[in-house]
Amino acid sequence: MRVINVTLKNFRNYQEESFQPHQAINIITGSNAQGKTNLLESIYYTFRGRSFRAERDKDIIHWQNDTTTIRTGVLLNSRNVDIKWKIKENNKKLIINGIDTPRAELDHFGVVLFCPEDLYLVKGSPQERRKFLDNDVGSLNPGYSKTWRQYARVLTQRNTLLKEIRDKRTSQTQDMLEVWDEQLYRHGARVIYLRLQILKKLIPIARSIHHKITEGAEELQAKYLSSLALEPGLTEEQIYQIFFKTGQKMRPTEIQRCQTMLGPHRDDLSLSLNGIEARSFGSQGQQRTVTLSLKLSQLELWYREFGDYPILLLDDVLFELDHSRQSMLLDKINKVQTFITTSFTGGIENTIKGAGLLWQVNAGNLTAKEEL
Amino acid sequence: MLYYSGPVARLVDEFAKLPGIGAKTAQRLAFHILNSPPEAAQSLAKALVEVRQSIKRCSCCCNLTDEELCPICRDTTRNGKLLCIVEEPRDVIAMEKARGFRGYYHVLHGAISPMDGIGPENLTLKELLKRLQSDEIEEVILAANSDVEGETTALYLARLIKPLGIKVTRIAHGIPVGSDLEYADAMTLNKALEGRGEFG
Repeated sequence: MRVINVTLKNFRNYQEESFQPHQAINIITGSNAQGKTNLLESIYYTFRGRSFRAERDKDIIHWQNDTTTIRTGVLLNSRNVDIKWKIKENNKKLIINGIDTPRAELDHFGVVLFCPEDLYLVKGSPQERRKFLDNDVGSLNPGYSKTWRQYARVLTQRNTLLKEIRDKRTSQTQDMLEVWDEQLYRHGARVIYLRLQILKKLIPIARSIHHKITEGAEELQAKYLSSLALEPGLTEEQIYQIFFKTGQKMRPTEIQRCQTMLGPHRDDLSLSLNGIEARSFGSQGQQRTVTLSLKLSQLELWYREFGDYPILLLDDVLFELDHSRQSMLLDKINKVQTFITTSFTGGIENTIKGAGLLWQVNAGNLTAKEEL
Repeated sequence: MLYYSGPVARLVDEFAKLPGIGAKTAQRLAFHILNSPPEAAQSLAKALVEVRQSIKRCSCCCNLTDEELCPICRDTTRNGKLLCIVEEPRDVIAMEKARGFRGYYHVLHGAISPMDGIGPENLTLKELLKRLQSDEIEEVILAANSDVEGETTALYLARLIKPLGIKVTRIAHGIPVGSDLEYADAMTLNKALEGRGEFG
């Protein structure tokens, strides 16, 4: 997969910008606050339909305008695809090859982002790792995002009902809750099952990459921690049964607290190095390496599943890595189209000679500086 | 709204409240009415007032009608053993256009959704239970939508109706007729596989 061209209109600080990225490595450099990350953001938005840092779509629209468009030409399995987003404050439209298209179509386009906030994946709260499970891991199964959205919908509906029951605003409490429970267990079991299926393939890859990066010094272990007591190798139906049984007991507490206490929205991913929990005991560098291994394993698994590498976005993280990790990363990505932002190139131009382009950003203007 | 005089602005505002109508279309509709003969506006206004005054719910199936019983409920040639439950009156129209169903309908007027404050008590369940007790109905077909709310409503109805000894079925979900497998999403394909039938 490859981005052929990007045209931005009123996107953040870009009023009108168009560029043709290099098919391998694109290093985007410039001083602070010139719009380096904005470029990565536009590419991420193209494939995910949302930003990785703005809470609201309003924030990505140029401050003097009310609409922004991102138009990206992509080469996917030797097919040219024209992806266009038209974004307003309260609505957005996806147009692929000139036709209005549902967002689920984007599930076939891969993008892997590695940004400074990803460190929280290891040291942050479980919520950060669930975000990783839903956005990163989930994207490796095209059916995941839809399943997750339905589960989230059931969850909101059920929590509203719990509140109504507690405040005694509804008459048919017990029957109604049972029906929503049934929905919760069905969709929840499906979400957990899909997560486990993907992790079963992803974790061994991450382990071997981590082994290589650390030259055998560290063993990475990753394990899905569920709010339900699950054993390995369960079928979706078995997970449903367990969810059903445990869920029934939790009900009185749930009504009291107006919260759904069990389910994939409460689960976590445990990450440890040589048997020691990376979250509390890992050094900053170790945590960064774990994140790197997880990100690289996504690239690899995507390739194994779909026969093509996704686009890689590295936002300000390359120079946080030490020399050997840097070269490991650059070695891994020689088949992947990559976008790297940095304010300081540190002589990397010499390492990747002949395999990329250096771009210069200056107050919302992008120029190709030199061929590497 | 400084560009319009008062009545025009009011008309544009009213049009813009309709579903699928934005500010520009509303303006176009308003000027269309201003440019057409006065009788056209009269008859549109009359139609609007009449539809609100005369249309009510059918006393049997709760579909919208201007009579006590809707034409479908009055049709005695239909199969009284089959009852199809749908969410909205427009679902009846869709089913009728397909011409594949010759039983009777029941319109719920919504689906269960705590977020929107819609519980079973807001649907036409009282009317439904009354029908199920007195009529000769042998099978109830649940044709609520396949979204989370529709699915929940169907589940709720199934639990309500089954104890009455009536057969309950759910319409199948899966691949649209005439479309290619490769364009179906994973969830639809799985649903279609679950609901497969014997063939040949």
